[in-house]
Formats: sequence, C-alpha cells, structure tokens
Amino acid sequence: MTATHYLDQARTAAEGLRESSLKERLAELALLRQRIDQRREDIAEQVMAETGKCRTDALVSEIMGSLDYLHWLNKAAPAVLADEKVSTPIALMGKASRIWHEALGTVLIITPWNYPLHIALTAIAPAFAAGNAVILKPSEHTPLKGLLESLVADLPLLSSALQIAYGDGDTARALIDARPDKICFTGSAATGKAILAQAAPLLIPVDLELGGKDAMLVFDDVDLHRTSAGALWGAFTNAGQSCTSVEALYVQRPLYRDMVATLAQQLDALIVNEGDAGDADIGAMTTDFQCDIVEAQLEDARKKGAQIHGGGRIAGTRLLRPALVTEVTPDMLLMQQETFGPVLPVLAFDNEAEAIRQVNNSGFGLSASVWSKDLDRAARVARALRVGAVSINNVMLTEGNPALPFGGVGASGSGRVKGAEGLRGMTRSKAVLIDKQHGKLEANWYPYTREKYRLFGQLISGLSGKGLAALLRFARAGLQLESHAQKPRRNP
Amino acid sequence: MKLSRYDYIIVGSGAGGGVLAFHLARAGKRVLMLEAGQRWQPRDYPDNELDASARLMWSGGVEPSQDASLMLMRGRTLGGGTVINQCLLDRFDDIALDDWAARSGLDSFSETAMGRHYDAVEADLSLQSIPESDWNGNARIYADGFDRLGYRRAPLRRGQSRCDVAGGNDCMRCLGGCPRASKQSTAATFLPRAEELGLEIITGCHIHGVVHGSAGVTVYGQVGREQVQFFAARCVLAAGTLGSSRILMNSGLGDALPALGKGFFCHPQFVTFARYAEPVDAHRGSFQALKSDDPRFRAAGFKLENVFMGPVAAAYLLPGGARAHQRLMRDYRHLACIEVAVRDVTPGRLSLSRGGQLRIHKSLGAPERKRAREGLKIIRDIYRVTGATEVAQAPTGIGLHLMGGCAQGLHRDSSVVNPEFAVHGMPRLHVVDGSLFPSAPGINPSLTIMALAHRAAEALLGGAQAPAGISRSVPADAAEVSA
Ligand SMILES: Cc1cc2nc3c(=O)[nH]c(=O)nc-3n(C[C@H](O)[C@H](O)[C@H](O)COP(=O)(O)OP(=O)(O)OC[C@H]3O[C@@H](n4cnc5c(N)ncnc54)[C@H](O)[C@@H]3O)c2cc1C
Repeated sequence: MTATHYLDQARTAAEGLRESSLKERLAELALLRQRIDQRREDIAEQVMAETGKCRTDALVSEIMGSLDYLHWLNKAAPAVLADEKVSTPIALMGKASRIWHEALGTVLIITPWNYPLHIALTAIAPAFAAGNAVILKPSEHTPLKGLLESLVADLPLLSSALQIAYGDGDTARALIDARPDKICFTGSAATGKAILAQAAPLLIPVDLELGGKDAMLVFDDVDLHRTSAGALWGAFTNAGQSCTSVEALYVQRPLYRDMVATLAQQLDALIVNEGDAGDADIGAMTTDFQCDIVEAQLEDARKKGAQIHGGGRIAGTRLLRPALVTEVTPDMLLMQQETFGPVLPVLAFDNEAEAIRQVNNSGFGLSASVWSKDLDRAARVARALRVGAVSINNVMLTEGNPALPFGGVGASGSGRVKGAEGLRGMTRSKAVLIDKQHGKLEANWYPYTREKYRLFGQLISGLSGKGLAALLRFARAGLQLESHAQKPRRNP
Repeated sequence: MKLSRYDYIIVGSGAGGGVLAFHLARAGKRVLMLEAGQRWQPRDYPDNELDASARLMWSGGVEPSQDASLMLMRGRTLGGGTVINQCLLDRFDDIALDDWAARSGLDSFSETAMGRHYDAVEADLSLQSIPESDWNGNARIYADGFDRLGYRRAPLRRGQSRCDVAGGNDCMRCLGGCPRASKQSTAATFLPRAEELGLEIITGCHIHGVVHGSAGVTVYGQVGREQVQFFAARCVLAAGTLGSSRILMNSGLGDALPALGKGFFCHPQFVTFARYAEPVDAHRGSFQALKSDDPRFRAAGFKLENVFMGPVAAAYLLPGGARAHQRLMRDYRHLACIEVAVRDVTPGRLSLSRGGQLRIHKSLGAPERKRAREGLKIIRDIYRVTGATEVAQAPTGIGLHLMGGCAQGLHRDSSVVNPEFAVHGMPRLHVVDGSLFPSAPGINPSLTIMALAHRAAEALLGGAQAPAGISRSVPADAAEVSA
C-alpha cells in the first residue's frame, strides 16, 4: 500500500469518525484496555521477544503504564474535550462565546523501539478519543507486528481509525509527504530535525519528543540507601534505553564518596538477563548498534581517564552489565551525547548554583530530579532547571502520572503528550461566537463617523478607567454608540 | 569489554558436579565450575578432625535438623562430599531402583538401564575391595560376630588407589581430605582431568541464586565480599541436596515447583561402641572393611558396617558424662565400633526461613526407629557373642547421605527435575546431584550420583556428543584427549 493510500483511507475514516460520539469512542478504548489487561502475559512475551526487555520492565512500563494512561484518559477526556463556554466581554453584551475542541483529521504517529507499546498507545488513544484517524509507523526494530491490529480487531471505530504502516525511514518520509494533519514523533534529535525540515514547507505541525541527558541532583541531606537505589533504577530501567533515564548524577561533594560506594555495591547485585520470569533486573539492549554506541562511549571515557565500575557485554548476547563511571570530564562523549544504555556517570558539585548551571548547560532539557530533605531548596532548584519535568525526591516519576504532561525543552523537543495538554494537542480549538438574529447594527460596523470615533474614545477611557465614574462613562458612551450606530451616514 | 558466556556453569564440584564437568569438558564444551569451598593440595588438608570439619564442611561440621534429632554433614571444598566421605562405592540393586521407577515414572531406573553408566564411571576410578589382609581388630570382631550369628557379610568396595595399609599406613584421614590422593574424590580424579580439558574453576564462590532466561542463565553469588554474576547457556546445579534445593528456593522458584525441598532423606546412622579387654586397635589400617550382605537386613531396611573414627569424633559420639566418658576415652584402643544405617522412608522437608536460612525438617519416624532398633539389637548380639565387656550407644544420630529435595520424575507436582535433567519448565536449568533421588536407596549413594551425572552428560550433549559408554583407564584417557 502506498503512503497516499494510507492517507486517503485515514481521511475517509476521519470523516466517518465525525459521526461518532466521544462516548462511543471512549467505550471502545475501555474495551481495548480490558483486552490488554486480559492478554498481558502474551503481550509481555511479544514485547520481551522484540525488545529484549526483562519481564518486569515489559509489564510495568509497557503494559501497566499503558493501562494507567487509558484509565486516566477515559475519565478525563469528557471534560478536556467538552465544548467550552468562555465569558464574553461587556462590550459584546448579549452574545455567547464557545470553544470547540475538534479533531485535526489525520495524525501520523512515528514511534521508537524503546517503549513500542506504551509510546504508541499513549499517542493513538488520545488522537482517537479526540476523533482523529491515526497512522502509526512503528520502529522497524520493534514493530510488534499484528499486536495492535489484533487488540482492536472487533472494535469497529478503532479498527477503522487505526492503520499501521510498517517500515523504516523511507516509509515515514513517504507518509509525511502525503500530508497528514499532524505528526507526532518520538525518537532521536537527528531524525526529529529531519522530520521538522520535511514538514516545514508542507506546513504540517509536528510534536517532537526527543532524547535527553537527564540529570539527577542529590544534596547531601538525603537518605543514602534510598537515593542510591533510585539513581540505579532511574539509570538502568529498560537497560537505560529511556529518553528520561538518569544520564548524569550530580552529588553534593560531602556525600560523593559514600554515595559512589553505595551505588557500586547496589549495582553489583543487579541481575542481568533476558527472557526471564520477572526475576532479572536489567534486560538486553534492543539493538546491536545501541550496544556499540554504549560500548564506544565507555571506551572513550576510559581512554580519557574515567574510572568504570562494572560494564561489559556478555559475549554473544545484547546483555550489558551496568556501569558506574567516575572521574568524568566534560570532554567525554558520554557527557556530550545521549548514551541510551545502562551507564551512570557520577559527578560531584559544590553548590546549588553550580549544579543548576551544569544541568542547564547540557543542551538537552527533558526531565530531571532533585533530591533533598529541604523541600524549599528542592522546589527552588526545580524551578531553575530548564527542563520539561522535575521529580522531587523521586526519579522518572512524572511519567508515572498520566495526568501530567510530558515533553521537553530545547534539544529535547517541543509539544506535550499525556495529560490534558497532550489530549488537547490532538485537537484544534475552534472559537465560536454566537449572536442572535435581530435588526440592530453593531457600533463598529460602518459607517465610521467623527461622532462614532469620539464615542469610541470615551468607551475606551471608560473601559480602562477605574471606579464607578469610569463605569458610568463607559455605559453612557456605549448607549450613545449603539443608538448612533443605527443611523445611516448623513447624506447631504 | 567482553564478558564470558559459558556453555555450562556447574555449581558444586562433588560427586555429581565433578563427573559431569569432566564429560562436558571432554565433549569440548566451555565449562565454568563454581564451588563454595576452597581448593586444597592433598598434602595441605588439615591433619586433625576438628580443623578438617571446620574447614572442609558446611557450618563448621554439623548441621542439625530442626528437632536436633539428626546431625547432618556435608562437604564444602573443591570435590565436595567426595573429599570428606569414605568413598565406599556401591551400585544400587533393583530393590532401590524399582522403587525409584515407581515413584518417578521413569523406567530408565533399573539395574540394566543404569548398568552402562555405572560401567562408565567405574572405568574412570580406581576401585578396590578391602582385602582381609587390611583388617584391623574391629573388622575381625565384626566378621567373627557375623559368622557366629550366621549373617552374611561382604568386603567393602572403596575408591582408593594407594592406601598402602599393608605397608603400615594407618593415617585414618579419609574423612578429612586424603593427603595421599589415594581416595578417589573428584578432586583427585575427574576434576584435574577436566581442568586439563579446559574446565575453569572458581573456588570460594558461594552461589545464592539463578535467573533463568530465554537464551541463558544468570548465576549470582559472592566471592568473599564481592558480589559476582556469571552467564551460561545452561546452568547445572550440583550443589548437593541441601545446596541445590537452597539455591532454587532462594531464587524464588518455590511457587513454580511444588515438589521442591520435599522428599528429603538421609540414611540415619547410629554407632555403637563396645569395650573389649584386649586392645582392638580399630584405628589401625582400613578403619572400615566390612558390610552386611544379608537379604534379611536389606528387607528389614538397614545395614551394618564396621567403622571407627579419630579421638575428636569418638569423644563426640561416646555417651556418658565426666568419668564414664573419660574412662571410655582412655580405653580408645580397646573400643570396637559398628554402625547401623537405616534406609529411611519418612520424607523430610527443606525450607527457607524468612532470612534465607536453610531449615531441615527431618525427624525419625516410627519406621526408622524400628529399623534402627532391629539393627542395634544385632550389633549388641555381635558384641555379646564376641565377648565385649561393655556396650556404649552413641547418643545422636547422624545423617551423611543427604538425598532428595529435587526429585527426578515426570510430573511437576511430585518432582522437580524432568527426565532430561532439566528443572520443570526451565529447559536451561539442570540439577545433577544427590537431590535427584526420589527416595532413599539404603545403599551408599555417591557412585549412583556419579552414574546419574554420566547419564545427564548424555542427555545434555545429545546423541552425537554423548560420552563413550565406557572410557578407558584414567590417566591414559585424559592424556589422550588433551593431546
Ligand atoms: C562423613 C561422610 C561419609 C560419607 N561416606 C560415603 C561413602 O562412603 N559412600 C558414599 O557413597 N557416600 C558417602 N557419603 C555421602 C556422599 O559423600 C554424598 O552423598 C555425595 O558427596 C553427594 O554428592 P553431591 O554431588 O550430591 O553433592 P556434594 O558432593 O555434597 O557436592 C556439592 C558441592 O556443592 C558445593 N555447594 C553447595 N552449595 C553451594 C553454593 N550455594 N554455592 C557454591 N557451591 C555450593 C558444596 O560445597 C559441595 O562441594 C558420605 C558423606 C559424609 C559426610
């Protein structure tokens, strides 16, 4: 099938969806949710087989995360998508104002290989709920072929609204050229730029969820054991292949040594394996090229003087043992580029301002976490960070709440998914103003006269003045304008 | 940085692990052995019983059952139980194997089907039956009593090559690591040969658990304080009855394996001393020489052997307090000793405490007590007819043959390991040691553990690379393969 076919079909489906109600669409999403729940072990198996994830990662972030999101969407969508009444200014007295949140039409969703189910579903579901037809182009590395199709098979609206176009970058480019109404892309910054460039002349709006080099800032008043455990999970969940993985851990100097020692000890206990039964901590990397990137960054760091605890690839597999890197310097690749693997560089900082500066200088700005007993300090630092999300005394937790928006700053992208903002992102707002049928002409309509001009001046002063006198002036000017407006230009 | 991925990791180096490692290495497999105990040179084994227990056994020597009615012993050293055992090597009879076949549903448990596996391991060992010339006073009393009472006896068959009893050696250090490398422990036989063939061994490595995956098994534990992790396409647990069950339970597999830790047996043994007016010198020469070979005993579920021990163990096992004990100890040279070993039928159970401590639930049931009583009565008869002046019964029972807990069989509800030696539902995880036993055979177990290891090697390697049915005599064989 060609890209044009996909788009033609999507446009037809989008037309069809206009006949459906939000309630009907949400009912199908509720069924989808049930189906995922019922088939979760199967789904986990397929996700594990394609990604190499350990079972717990597959279940918790892919399945539980998706179910959570669908649950939230079903509850929140009616309010978020409802027609809105907005107030009408006094100057427009007698009229009513509305905002309608309408479907965009066709949405192209391009997803990466790290969370093939979760990222796809958390884009498809709001797009569909809002009334869009969707074309999903999953990563060629983790297509999950047939899975979504089978999940929506007997849901009439969803199965007609959702098409999946399997393929690589060429497929994506062709689909973009066929002019969807919106593109939602999650993936690398390089591909994100290419997509934006391709979309620009076509004037297609693009949401970009790109990579990060997310920081974790730890002050010296924290619980060492919990904070270290959080750092390791944040750095190594999904084998570090999360855009919001902790990729730089900044520890206040007095705590630095102890924290490194604790991290090393906790790291040694992490079990690496794939195809497990829920008992491995870290699964395999999804692709060989990502293993190579991680290994090359570690090798580069080692050459430039870093100390590496752990690490290494198990021969003949894509299993990487997690690595803790100390003696890190800014010239190392792993401080400049996204690593996207189980590697945790640990750096020391002396004061708040320095730590904030270091984080804000990374160029990326997806998420961060701040750890301190002093919540005022934590909030102060959180506000100062140029990122899209901050967890305080926890890690990667904003993503745990589907009501919160998700998205980055700077090189980490723009646009938001999830939360009300993400749902609205699948709509365009239509402004509506309603007046009644009557014979009166509006004051601002023609003819323009000197008298009208003078009265408008008074009206404006009344509007911007304060107190009862101003209000009276406004009212009087208004009334005079109204009666004046009904008069035709005097003909000599 | 490349981390190794082995073809096989074997946890434990005793009767099961040692033999299996040799056959896998000989088939060209890359094998890593992980052993909690240390590696010793024969001449460095501790020369006294206390140190030997403390340094070569788990828990410093004995591990009591929950009700403390039995003291269990197991080796913790390179070579496992085979380093600290007496190395009496007997084949099982059909009485034992038929019971296994019935319980497991495997008809391959029979004298005929096991024959070629026994042949194969025996061919790689030096086996000697203790000749009458090596008897000491204790053996003579035993023989005399048996003959007078009309019971059948037989010489013990032992894995040994150069004990030189005739030349006057009476080191009596068999149970503390043989300093002469005469005893056929795996440390003296299969392991060095396997190492020549490329087996890698890490000693002092205590394994806590395994994680079974779709393409391999992660094995994790500790070397000293350091936490370690190893990877292999397959993992074989050969950590012994208590060790392998513990590793599986600690890996959280209890729910998936309802039979895990069940069916634990130990051949409870009770020794009885007797004092004679003349010196017996039971510590001289071969301190064990004879066993009962009487079908009536076999049918009744016990066997008798002459046995003796060094002064520390004697002090532990002799009854009485203060003076009575002291008197018996003073008469050490005048003591004879016979043990009854019971074929137990009341299954015990292994479990883990919340803190991960192994709990051994095993008490003497009515049948075991009855069997022990019958055996003890015959021992007393022997002492009576041979003119003992006093009989002294050891207060505690001991368990040296630890078996079961990961029974082999067809069904998950009654067994843990399938006929291919893989844990049910976990095709890459295997168990090859005494824990496979579906019941207590009433016969020395280690030769059969070795034979099962040979059979397991065949199962693991598949037809093409199956080890030869019978390999030729030992050193030549090893030399040839490594050449
Ligand atoms: C005093 C004594 C005398 C005996 N005499 C005889 C006899 O004459 N004839 C006979 O047939 N049997 C005898 N036995 C019994 C025999 O030695 C055992 O049945 C046999 O050794 C069991 O073999 P196995 O392979 O099951 O385990 P073992 O030989 O016990 O080997 C298990 C190995 O695994 C290691 N291990 C356990 N847990 C771990 C872990 N978590 N991590 C790493 N390594 C671990 C242990 O240290 C040990 O080295 C005797 C036993 C004792 C104690």
